[in-house]
Amino acid sequence: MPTLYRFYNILSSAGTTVISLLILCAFYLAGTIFPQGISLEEYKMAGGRFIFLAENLRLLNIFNSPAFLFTAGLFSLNLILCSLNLSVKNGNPRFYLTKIYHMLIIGVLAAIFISTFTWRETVLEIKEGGYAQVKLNNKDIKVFLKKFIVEYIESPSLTFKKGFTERVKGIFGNSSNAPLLILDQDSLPFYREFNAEVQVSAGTDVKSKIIQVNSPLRFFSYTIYLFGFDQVMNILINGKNYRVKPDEEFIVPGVDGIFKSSAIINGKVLRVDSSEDEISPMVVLSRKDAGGGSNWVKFLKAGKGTDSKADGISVALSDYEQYVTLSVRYDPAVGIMKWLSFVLMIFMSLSVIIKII
Amino acid sequence: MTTYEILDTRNLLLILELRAALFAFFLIPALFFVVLLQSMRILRLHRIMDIFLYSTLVLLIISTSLRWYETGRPPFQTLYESLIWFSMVTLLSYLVSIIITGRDYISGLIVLPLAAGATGYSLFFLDPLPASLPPALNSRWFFWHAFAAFSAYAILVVSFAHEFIRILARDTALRYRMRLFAYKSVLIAFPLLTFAIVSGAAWAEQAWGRYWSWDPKETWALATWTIYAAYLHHSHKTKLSGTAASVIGVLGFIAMVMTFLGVNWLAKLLGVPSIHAYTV
Repeated sequence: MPTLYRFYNILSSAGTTVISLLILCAFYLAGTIFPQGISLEEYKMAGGRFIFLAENLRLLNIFNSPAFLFTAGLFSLNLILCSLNLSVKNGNPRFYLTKIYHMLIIGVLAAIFISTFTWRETVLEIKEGGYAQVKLNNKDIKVFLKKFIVEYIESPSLTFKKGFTERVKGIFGNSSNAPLLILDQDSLPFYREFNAEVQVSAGTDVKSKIIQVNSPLRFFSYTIYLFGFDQVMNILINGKNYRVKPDEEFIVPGVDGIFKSSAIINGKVLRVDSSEDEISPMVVLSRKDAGGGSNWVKFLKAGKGTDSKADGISVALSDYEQYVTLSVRYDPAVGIMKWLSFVLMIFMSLSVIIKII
Repeated sequence: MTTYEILDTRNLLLILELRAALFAFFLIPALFFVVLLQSMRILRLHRIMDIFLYSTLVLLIISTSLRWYETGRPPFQTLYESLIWFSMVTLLSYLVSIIITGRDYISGLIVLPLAAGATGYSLFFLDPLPASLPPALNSRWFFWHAFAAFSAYAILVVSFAHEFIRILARDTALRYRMRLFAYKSVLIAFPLLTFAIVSGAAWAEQAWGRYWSWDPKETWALATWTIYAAYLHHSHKTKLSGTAASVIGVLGFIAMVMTFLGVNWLAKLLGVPSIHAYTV
C-alpha cells in the first residue's frame, strides 16, 4: 500500500506536471523540425537531412507515436488527479476558480478525444450550376452550387528603397528616395473575397447561403466549407481553340514562345476611390521564350467574345467553366469544445485577476 | 503602354505614419541611454525618462492608428505592421511594469533594445505597403486572434527581461522583486496566450473545417504555451525561489520568438510545409 500511495503522490504532483509538459514540448519541437504525415521516401525526395533519426524514432508521424501518446496520457492523468486534489484553502474564491478551469481543460481534452474518433469529411468538386450528393453519417445530403462570384480589390504598389540611409532620407522628404504609392493601370486586381451561393438539402430540410472562406454553412451537425475553386477556359488564338487551366503552359504552333493564361477575372472590383465596378470576363496571356530562360512577360488582355491583337496574333476568350471545391464535414464534438473553451477562458481570466489583485 | 496613378492622399498618410515611427525609433536609444545612466547610479533622471517613454509611446500609437485608418483594418497583416504594433505594446507593458514596481526602470536595459530592434528592422528593411486583406484573413477572428497573440508576446518580453536580470543579479531583494514581477507578467500573458490558441483553433475550424493541423506555427504556439504552463507550475511549487523557473522562463521566451518570427524561416529552411505561409 505505501508503494501505491507513493505512486499516486508522484502521479498527482506538480513535479510530474512540469516534467510531462517539458517532455510534451520536446515532442512538439521535433514535430516542427520533421514534416508530419509523409513517408520516408517523400522525406528523402524533399531533401530531408535526418533520415536515420526519422526512420528509427518514427519522427514523421510523431503525434501518433506510442511515446507521444504515453506522455500525453500521463499528462492527462496528472491533470485529472491534480484537479481533484486542488484543495480550497480558507474559502478563497481563487482556488474554486483554479479548480474549475483545470476541470474545464480536462473537458476540452475529452472533447478533442471524442472529435478524433467521430469526425467525417467528404470533399466535393461541383461545377457552377451543378450539384453533388453525399452520404455522410447515414444521412443523404444534396449540395447545389448556384453561383460562384469572385470579388477583387485594386491594390497599389509601393516604391521605397531599403536601407537605413535611403529610408531616413525618403521619410524626411528627399524626393528621389520618398515612398511612392502608385496604381499600375495594367496590373491585375487582388482577390478580395470568394462567394459561392450554395443550397443544401436533406429530405425536406433545405438551407441556402452565400458561403465564403470564413463563413461556412451550418446545417444540423454538418458544415459546408469553401475550400477553393478551379477554372477551365477555351481561348481562341488565331481562330484555333485551346482548352487550358490557369497557369498551365501551352504552345501555339507557328508562334514563338510558350504561353500561359491567368485565372479568369470576372466579378466585382473595389477601386481605390472606394467605388465598385463589374469586370467583364477576361484573361491575361503571358509569354516567355521557348528556351525557358527568360521571365514571363504580359502579352495581352483578352475579353470574352472580343478579339485582341498583339504581334499579329489574334486572341479571344471563347467561354469558361468554374468548379468549386467544397467540404462537407460532420464533427459533433466541435460545438461542445467551443463552449467549454469559452467558459474556460472566463474562469482562467477571473482566477488570474484575483491572484494579481 | 503602362500608365500609373500616384495616390496622393494615401501617400501623405503613409509618410506621416513612417515619420511618427522613425521619431519613435530615434527616441528609444535615447531612452535606453538615460536608463543606463540611471541604473549605473550616475544620474537620477526620472522626469526625462518619463518624457522620452511617453513621447515614444504616443508616436507609436499615432503610427499604428494612421495605418489602421488608412487600411480600414487592424494593423496586423504584414510583418512590418506586426513589429510596429509589437514595439508599441512592449513599451506599454514596460511602462505598466515601471508603475507597478514603483519606478524600477532596470528591465529597460533588455526591453528597449528589443523594441528598437523591432521598430528599426521593420522601418528600414521591410515593405510598409498598406496591403488589403486576402480572403483567408477576412474574418472577425483576425483582430482578436492577432491582438491576443501580439499582446501576450509583448508582455512576455517584459517578463523575460525581469527573469534575465534576476539570473544576473546578486542582490537578494532585487532578485525577489524581479522574479515576482516576471511571474505576475506571465500570469497576465498566459490567458492571452491561451485565448490566442483557442481563437486560432476556432478560426481554423471556421475557415478550414479543422481546428488543429499540427502546422509548425500552431505547434510552436502550443510549445510556447506548454513551457509557460510549466513555468507557472514550477514557480508555484517552489514559491518563486530557485533558478530552474528562470531557465524555463528564458526557454519560453525563445519559444515565443520562434513562434512569432522564427517558425516561417525554420519551415522554409527544413522544407516543412506550412498553411500559415501568408503570415509574412
